[in-house]
Amino acid sequence: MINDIFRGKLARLSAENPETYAEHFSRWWHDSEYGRLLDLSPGMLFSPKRVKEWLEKELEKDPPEMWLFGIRALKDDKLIGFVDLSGATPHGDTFVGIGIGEREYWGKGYGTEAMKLVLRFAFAELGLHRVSLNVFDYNPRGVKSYEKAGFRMEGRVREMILRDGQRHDVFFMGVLREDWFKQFGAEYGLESNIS
Amino acid sequence: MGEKPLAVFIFQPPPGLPRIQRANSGEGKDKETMNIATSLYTGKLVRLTRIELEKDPETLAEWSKDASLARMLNVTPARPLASEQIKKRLESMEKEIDEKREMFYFHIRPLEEERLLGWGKIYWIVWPSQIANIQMAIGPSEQNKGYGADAFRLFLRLAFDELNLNRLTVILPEYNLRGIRFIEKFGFSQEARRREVILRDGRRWDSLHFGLLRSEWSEKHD
Repeated sequence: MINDIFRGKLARLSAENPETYAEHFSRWWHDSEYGRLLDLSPGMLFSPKRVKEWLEKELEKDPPEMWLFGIRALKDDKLIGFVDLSGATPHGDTFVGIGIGEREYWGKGYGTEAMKLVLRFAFAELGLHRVSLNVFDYNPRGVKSYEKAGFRMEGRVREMILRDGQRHDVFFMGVLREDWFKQFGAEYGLESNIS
Repeated sequence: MGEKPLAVFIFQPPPGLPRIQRANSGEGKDKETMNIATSLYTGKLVRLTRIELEKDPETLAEWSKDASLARMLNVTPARPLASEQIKKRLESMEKEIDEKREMFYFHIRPLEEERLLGWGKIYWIVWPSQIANIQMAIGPSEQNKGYGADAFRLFLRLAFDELNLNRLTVILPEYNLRGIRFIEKFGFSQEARRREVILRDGRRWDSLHFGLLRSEWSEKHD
């Protein structure tokens, strides 16, 4: 078994204290482009205090309802984003959310690597059957990144978002454990005997 | 204040310019004017009503003795629920509706009777994007009598004409063939197939997402 599963070549999945998350989340949400790429609902600009209170409650839950990780760049150990798995069903499906809040780390492969690491966690550690996500039609960079991490397109849901006077579609994407093991098993030295 | 005469502008487009469309006149919709007397909650066979906390939980508990309703809806595991559990859930749902304002939930009854036929809800409303999900269930003993279609028409009219939504989503397991046929009759089309989301009876099933846009909605579906 390989146990160093939270570290990639560019980034690692980290655990942070609620206070650290809160300070960063609150700041990142003040970037409306970040918020509009991340969420279909309008962003609320919460104070770090408010985010901290919510996170403290959330992170206390055992077993967790949400598997939340920080994303730290290996070169400077800076906290640049987050990734989380939440809403897991008893059928082995969960949704993933990811955001790189520090703009100077956009488009350099950090998000893709963090997504690959969290999928490895989902399949190799949590034993999930599939992972799902939604991405908006005005986020082609996201779509490309998720495809690299193993996601496949599962549908285009029309006119889900009304922003700047225009309606936008939402893509549904998913990755199945069987396909993921076929694509990445060798890279991680894994072999599956369950489909 | 209030003494100034109301100014009325009637905009007549000059020849050659396209006529301005009424904001709420969806294509394929033949109703042109508002009729304030039309009841949003009364159909030909059924009516949409509030929850009766004293009586309805018993009926819902009876329906939950069999997994058929729950399994047709979604991924939440089917389980029998006692009427007291159901009452608590309904109460906390009413509280949530009150606080969040992103759901409308009704109990369906015959026009002249008090018995419960089923329930329906417009939920996950995202007001700025004018979207929501819709779900409806008719009790096993009340099916095949036309209640569902009559109630669903009311829900669609409420969603588009009163809540001013632009889009409704229905999520159904791929094995709910009756449900799929039912919503397709109302103009919903399949947009996403989320693979192997459901594990039941030892096999994997897909979850399907259907959408209906305001422009595709017609009250003529009978």
